[in-house]
Amino acid sequence: MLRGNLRISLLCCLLSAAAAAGQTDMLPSIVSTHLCADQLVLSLAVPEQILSLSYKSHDPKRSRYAASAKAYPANRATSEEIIQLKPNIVLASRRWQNHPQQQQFDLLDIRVIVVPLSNSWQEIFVNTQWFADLVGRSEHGRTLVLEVQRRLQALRELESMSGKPKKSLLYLRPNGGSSGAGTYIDMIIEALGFRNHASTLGLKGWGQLSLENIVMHPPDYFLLSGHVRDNSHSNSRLSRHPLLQQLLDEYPTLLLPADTGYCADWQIIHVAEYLVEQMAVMGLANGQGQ
Amino acid sequence: MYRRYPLLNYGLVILLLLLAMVSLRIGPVSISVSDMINALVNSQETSQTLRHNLILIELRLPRLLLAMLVGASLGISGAALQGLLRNPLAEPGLIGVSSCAGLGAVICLYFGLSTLSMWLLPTMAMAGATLATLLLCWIGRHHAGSLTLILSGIALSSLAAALTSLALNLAPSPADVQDMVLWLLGSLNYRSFNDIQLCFPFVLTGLVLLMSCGAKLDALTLGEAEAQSLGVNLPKLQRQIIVGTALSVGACVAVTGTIGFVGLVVPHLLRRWVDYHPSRLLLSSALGGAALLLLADIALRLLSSTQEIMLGVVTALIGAPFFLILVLQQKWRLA
Repeated sequence: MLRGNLRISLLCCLLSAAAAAGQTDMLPSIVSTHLCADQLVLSLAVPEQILSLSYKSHDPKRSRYAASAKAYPANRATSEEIIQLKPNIVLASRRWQNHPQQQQFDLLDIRVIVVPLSNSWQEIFVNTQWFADLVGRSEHGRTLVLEVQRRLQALRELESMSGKPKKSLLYLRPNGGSSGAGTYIDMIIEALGFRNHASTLGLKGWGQLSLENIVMHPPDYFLLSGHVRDNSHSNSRLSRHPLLQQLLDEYPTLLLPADTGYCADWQIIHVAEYLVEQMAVMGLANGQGQ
Repeated sequence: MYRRYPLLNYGLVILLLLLAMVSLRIGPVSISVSDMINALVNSQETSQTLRHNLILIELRLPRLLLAMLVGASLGISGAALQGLLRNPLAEPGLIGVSSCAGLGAVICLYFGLSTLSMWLLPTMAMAGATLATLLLCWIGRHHAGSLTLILSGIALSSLAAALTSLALNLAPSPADVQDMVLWLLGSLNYRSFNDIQLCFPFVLTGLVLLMSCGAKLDALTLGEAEAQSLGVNLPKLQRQIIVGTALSVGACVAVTGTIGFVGLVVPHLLRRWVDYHPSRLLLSSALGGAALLLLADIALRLLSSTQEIMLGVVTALIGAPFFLILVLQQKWRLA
């Protein structure tokens, strides 16, 4: 009897495995040529779908998923690599749209998809679901969106517990770059319960602030970028200026991790949570006064 | 005619002071003259005066002083080199000092050495300028002719430009290319007193060396043989001018990046006003160079919106057409 049940169970397992394998075979194969797309692919696609990821995904200084990305071959977004891999979908940056080999890809039935930018949390949810649908993982996408919404709600509840006025936070890159409304940094700042100081200084979207303006109107908190590309000599001159160093010594400063990815996708929830942890370690309250 | 020379220098000093005042007034934060005086006299009165004081002293003043220092170095070096080589096209860029200093900096950026210490880039740039100087001094000692020096300088400059292009060509990422190009275009933005401290001793030594060779340059206008008969030691004079140029221009390039045309245009512009005396041209070119670079810096700050326009671009945009007009005017006058 037991042996009969075991046989039936094994048969069921084999049948379900075969069905799953069949489903995986039906999913589109993907080559990602862009770091932001790499992160989405790794979080939503099944391993069998992924033919290659961008070379930047293997760099632990840029990619928080470098360890898992190393399981896949890296590419440098050349046409030859794409043609050899012959995926169903190539995920690319906006700059890649004008690739001269676009016609060859059309002939080989390779779709070039540009991952859209998100300018609000709502757009992040919509785009995540769109991407999950694209790679044939709709259900997984829905689960992920619900999970991110829950985590965002938890952050907002944390910041709404205090009724005090919001403190200002200034995101600053070493070249004076900052971000006003309509950027993912603004979304993180809002989720943490701060007032975006760059918007107060008149910045809309991405742009630059002068050191004079920062000296004249300093924020309550600084949020510094740790991105690897910001460390170049010419681009980091503002950050090396003794006057800014003096300001950073005076005001509490948070630091974005280098491997944040700097992509406007669902993973910025990790960044927001990381900053909440950083503030707790530093003994700082959320965006409202201490 | 004789009195024109001191008047010119007084005029240039007044122009420099006026430009300095304008330079201190210009910036993203608007500070009125009364607020400026208040910030400088009673800096601790309110938090606003303290902030105005910081902006004026820590941000605008170093930029102003560095512009003067770099402009003066480029102007006087151009005048000295034109006098020594008796060639109106001579300038610090021609003898390869600027490009070798630039190459030193690019090598530092290429290998990421600038992240190890903020002083490594200026040190490498000065090392590049020193190497070029040593080579030119060696050539000067063995083949004392001016033409040989000019041609060697051009060859050195071309080699440095080719190696710089190679570094750009092989740069690991577009961000690295941007880093090198931005540095090569020259800028005074966000320079501090640390930068002035770094370059000032070298610039000062270079300026003293160049200023002290005025009488010998006057003698050289008669010809090399006549100058030697008047007691001018030509190889020594060559070394003095090359070392002076390398010290002052090399140190400036190390801090600001390469800035062209000032050394070429300023002596041309002022030569007539000093009655074609190379010795008189030295001080006037230093003052004129400082004024021109300050003017270029003011212009770029007025023109720049969110994206900074690089100083080397502005000096070339001002200098090149101006130089062309000057050359054509002289041609018409001679005709």
